[in-house]
Amino acid sequence: MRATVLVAVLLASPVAAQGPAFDSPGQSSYGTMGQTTRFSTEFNPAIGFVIDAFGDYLGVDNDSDGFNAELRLLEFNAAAYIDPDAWAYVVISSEELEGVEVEEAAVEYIGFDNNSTLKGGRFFVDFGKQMQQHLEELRTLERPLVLREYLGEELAGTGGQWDHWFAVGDSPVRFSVGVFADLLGEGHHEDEGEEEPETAVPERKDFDELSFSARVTGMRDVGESGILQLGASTRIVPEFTAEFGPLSQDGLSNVVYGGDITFGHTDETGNKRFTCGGEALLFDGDLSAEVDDPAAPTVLTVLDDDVFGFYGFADYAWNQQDSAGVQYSRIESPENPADDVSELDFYYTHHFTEFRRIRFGVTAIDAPMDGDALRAYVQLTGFFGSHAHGLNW
Amino acid sequence: MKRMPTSLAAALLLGGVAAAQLDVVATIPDLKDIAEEIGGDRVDVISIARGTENIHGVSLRPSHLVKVNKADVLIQIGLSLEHAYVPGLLEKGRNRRIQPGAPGFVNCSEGWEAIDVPEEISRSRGADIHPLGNPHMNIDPRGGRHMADRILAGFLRVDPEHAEHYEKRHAAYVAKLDEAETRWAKLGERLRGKKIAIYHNDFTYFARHYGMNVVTSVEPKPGVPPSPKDLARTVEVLRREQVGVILTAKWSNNKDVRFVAEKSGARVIEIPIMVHGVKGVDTWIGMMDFLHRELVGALDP
Repeated sequence: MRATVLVAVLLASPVAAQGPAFDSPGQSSYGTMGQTTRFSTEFNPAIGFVIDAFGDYLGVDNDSDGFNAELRLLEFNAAAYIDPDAWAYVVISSEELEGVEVEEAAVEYIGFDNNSTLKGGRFFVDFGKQMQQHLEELRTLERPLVLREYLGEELAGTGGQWDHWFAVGDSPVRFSVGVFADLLGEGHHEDEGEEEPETAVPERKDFDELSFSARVTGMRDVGESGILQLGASTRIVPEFTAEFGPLSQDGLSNVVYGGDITFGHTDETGNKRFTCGGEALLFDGDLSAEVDDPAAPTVLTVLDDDVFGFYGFADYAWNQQDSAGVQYSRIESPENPADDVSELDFYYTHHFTEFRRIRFGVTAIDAPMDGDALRAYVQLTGFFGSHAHGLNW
Repeated sequence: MKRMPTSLAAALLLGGVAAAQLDVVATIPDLKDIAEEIGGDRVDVISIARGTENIHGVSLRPSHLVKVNKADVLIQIGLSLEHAYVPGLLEKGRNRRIQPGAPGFVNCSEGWEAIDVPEEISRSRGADIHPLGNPHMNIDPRGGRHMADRILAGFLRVDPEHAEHYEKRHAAYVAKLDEAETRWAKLGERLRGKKIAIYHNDFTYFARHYGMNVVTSVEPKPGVPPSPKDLARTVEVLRREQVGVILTAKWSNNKDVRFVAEKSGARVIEIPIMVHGVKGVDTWIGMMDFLHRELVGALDP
């Protein structure tokens, strides 16, 4: 019986280019559109994998210190043209072997007769310099503190984004506008084991309750070897709800504004590279929510305020294989704006080849409420097959 | 093509001067030089690479994006030599005139018989694997003629009205090449059978053309930096085979090369792998003259 149902389902379910072997009358047919060889691999997408693992020692002012090792990330990515005017990509990952997540799956339309593109699907939001990057692409083990706290570990949204760039003299200027179902961010405080109110946007909403993003950025040559980039970004969540057990509060909203500056210099051989820069963020609106007693909550309090934070970094590669840098981030805590929290990273990266690298780093966190922490880590990353994310600007 | 104020254009037209130049983007200075030889004052050419960097890892600048967006012609070597930057540049440059297959896309390796075509496409063979074969055809003494032919074909496709101009200049350049090739052939005879070591396989076409003996490379496999064990092996091979010269480019003239040279007693010669790769080498013919002169001076003084 089960086998019969399975066969029926398979016959009734054409799967993209690998359609059914036989089309009965009334079925939508892919065969009439030219793709008739079901088992051809010639049009398959480029496929890549990433493995990212680390071992670390964490010293904190409580009992959770000690050594650990984690297979942090398995990432599968694939990309291909759908037709001459559109391409698509997918990034599927498993973090810390806890389930599988579709980080990105999007189609980008490139058929406009100008410098515009239109992207739809789920993808990392165009905010600043580091939010578009996947974890393994970062120069440090984690995203900078200010980005984690104000935007989330990752900021992927399901929606659409229009991109356009134009030239001012010899300098390109790009802007993007995105509209999304939800931009609350992921991973905010989830790993700290704290019981906190959950935030969510309404499943069905008016247009002005959708989340928005926007970015404008320009780059210019500085002499023969330098590049200067300036950018400004925003992320708007105009309607969300905080809930904890029976308690909830709706009509909440917040906005994050960001400004970024980056300078890069490369010597004449291309081997020695110096990069420095930073981002400053202002987080405004309903920042956080808490309950009086997580065991028996009676009051849910929402903090409406604005907080400021930033990060800055400097990174130097003295040959093709070796680089080192420092990154510093400081924030006013969204939970308690009177508290300043800071994070200082030192790191050294060695590329065995273009596709395999090892990184040693030390991260020091100074947090008045949660206590100070020191983390030393070694990170090993391997890139397999096709792997590229193109120009990130 | 270059845009100009209407009044200026009108003045030029009234003066009987054909005004519009082709905007040309060349990936490396070698192609810029040859394109200027063939195009003359009808082309305005920029090069993305400076000539001193690793040819596979050229850093893009913002102005390159703008130039690509407005270009009438893009000239590349191909064979995935520029795979690290041309595909992304073409994607973001959003210029249909120079996409692969369009008249303005000039692939100089088209019709070239590549060597070192890998039998297996696997990273186990090296990090810097080129599925279509060794892409460093610009270091082959015959390469200038082939690149010039392909560039001429591209200019004729895009700007057929000025075919006579391009063909005349191409013929003049080929005559220069004929003369140079005669000069190089005499010098090349003195290189036959000479033993050398290289850092990367960017010199293979030249060496093979003259029957030189490339005994070993400092890189154990393309794109893979040598380990201490690899370096020890290279030193041992150079001593055993009595190899007196290591050829390296500016970007790869590093501590590993110096270590091998010091331990084996070999001499390091820094060669250009692109025009402008060493000071004073400003044309493709000039680069070839430099290579022949330097090598003969080192190997058969």
